[in-house]
Amino acid sequence: MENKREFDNILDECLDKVMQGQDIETILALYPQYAVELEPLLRTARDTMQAAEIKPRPEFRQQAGYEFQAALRKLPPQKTPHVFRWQLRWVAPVAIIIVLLLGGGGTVLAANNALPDNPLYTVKLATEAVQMAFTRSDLGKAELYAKFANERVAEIVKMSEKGNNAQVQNTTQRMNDELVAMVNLTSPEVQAAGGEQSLTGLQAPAATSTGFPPETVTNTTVSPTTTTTTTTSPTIAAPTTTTAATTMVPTTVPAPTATAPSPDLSTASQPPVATEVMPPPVIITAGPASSPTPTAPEGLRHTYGQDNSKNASQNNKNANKNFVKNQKVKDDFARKFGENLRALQNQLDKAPENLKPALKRAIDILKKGYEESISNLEAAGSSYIP
Amino acid sequence: MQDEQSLIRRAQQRDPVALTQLYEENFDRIYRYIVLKIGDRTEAEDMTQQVFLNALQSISSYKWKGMPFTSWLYRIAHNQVVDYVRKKAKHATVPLDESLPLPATDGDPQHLVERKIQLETVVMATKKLTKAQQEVISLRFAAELSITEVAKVMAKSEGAVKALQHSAILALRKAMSPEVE
Repeated sequence: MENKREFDNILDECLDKVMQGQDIETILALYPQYAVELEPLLRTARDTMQAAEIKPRPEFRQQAGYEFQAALRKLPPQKTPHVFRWQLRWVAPVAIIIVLLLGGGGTVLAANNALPDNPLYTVKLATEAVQMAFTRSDLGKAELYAKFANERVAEIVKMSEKGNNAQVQNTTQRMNDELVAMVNLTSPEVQAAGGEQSLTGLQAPAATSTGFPPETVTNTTVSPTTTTTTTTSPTIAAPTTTTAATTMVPTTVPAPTATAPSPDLSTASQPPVATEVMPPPVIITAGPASSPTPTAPEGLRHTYGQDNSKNASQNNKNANKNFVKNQKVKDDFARKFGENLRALQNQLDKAPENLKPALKRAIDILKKGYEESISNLEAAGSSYIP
Repeated sequence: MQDEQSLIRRAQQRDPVALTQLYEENFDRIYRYIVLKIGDRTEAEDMTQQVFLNALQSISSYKWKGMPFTSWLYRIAHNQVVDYVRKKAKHATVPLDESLPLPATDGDPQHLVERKIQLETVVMATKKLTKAQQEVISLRFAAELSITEVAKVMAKSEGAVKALQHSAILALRKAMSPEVE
């Protein structure tokens, strides 16, 4: 009995070592008296662990993340004493904004430079999600996605230097999602609609970087000039689909409204059914063009100039402002594109052969994403001219 | 431990960053646990999602009292699985090969097929184990929990779980290689 207990303890110790990736022969050498008995057990355990190395499909992971964020937003507010309620309503958002703006807060600060193989990386992604949720305009969101994509490029380079192929691929997938969101947010339709959406607390999940889908993405199978709006996981009856379908101009969809199932611990519910379609790549269009001086074209100033009403004048001013902003973002994107492309190409030159396919894919995605976004911004700019 | 307690406290106060962190840290492991238990990808996906929605709804009722959050989460997952198995017993089953997930591989098709067969073998073999043995194998090798955590989830002593683990691996080996006696 005592012997059996001792063997169980040794087996468990050995299993821990197998889980840490240690070689079975090395482990057996630690317990030669039990080696014969231990070996088949450890091999069976190792085979089982290897077989269980399964990852959920990326599109499901995104959709699940989206629905989790939606459910999170729907949670009833915490009950607090009435006297303090009005103050607490402001404390949380203000605190989060301060922490994000100043980069303060131990964990958040420490997570700022976390890499994908670091446990704090999830905090970094969560912080990005909150940043995205507090960004008001579509163009602002697009800029933020570009910033996140920059981060992803730096992470891809670092992971490649470490020879971590899996993380290079994971991070590339995140970058792809962010660029897809960026492309959509810069689409002429969205820009023509004013590029603004209302901010309602933490309504918009930041999506991709946390494994969550962007609010809207561009369907990749369409031609460069005709983008359509759908959800990131085209396969799943996503909450946003209805909104997008019934809206004349496809704009970013703030939040799912209907599909989060009401959880009940005691019963299994009927979650949405997923079908299998791969997540969309980004559309390829013309490359980045040199950007003009950011002033509105002559025609723009007269777009609404046929009547002399105050509204028309105001509209004209807004359009002019949007145009200038658009041009600035386009220039910024072109610069970032160049920098990121150089960083990845440098890494590709010195990377070992086994990492090259993953890096080539990252470069391909980067090119497609930026080229499409810049093309979109150019199209949005030209649409101002009557 | 202190860090985890602090994280849970923030999550209970509906801190979105804390909740998202807990979600990200546990999602893949819960998924693997469920896949190995039921061997059906689509169902495992839906159930994993449901586990976190349930956890979100109930997190305010979670009390530390020495029980790690992960153990609490796996109890929710376990309840989901039990419920699923009970319901599934009344319906026809999906062929295993079509319902299994694609394992994580380097993209090599041959490797992918080998891994899929390996997973199928393990899933079939675990079905021949007792419920308790299945549980310990899933928690230990798919969810990668420590013996202490497994003991908390299963409400058993660590010694009992170690003995169960031993018998489970023996049974698994026998099921995977029938020539072994």
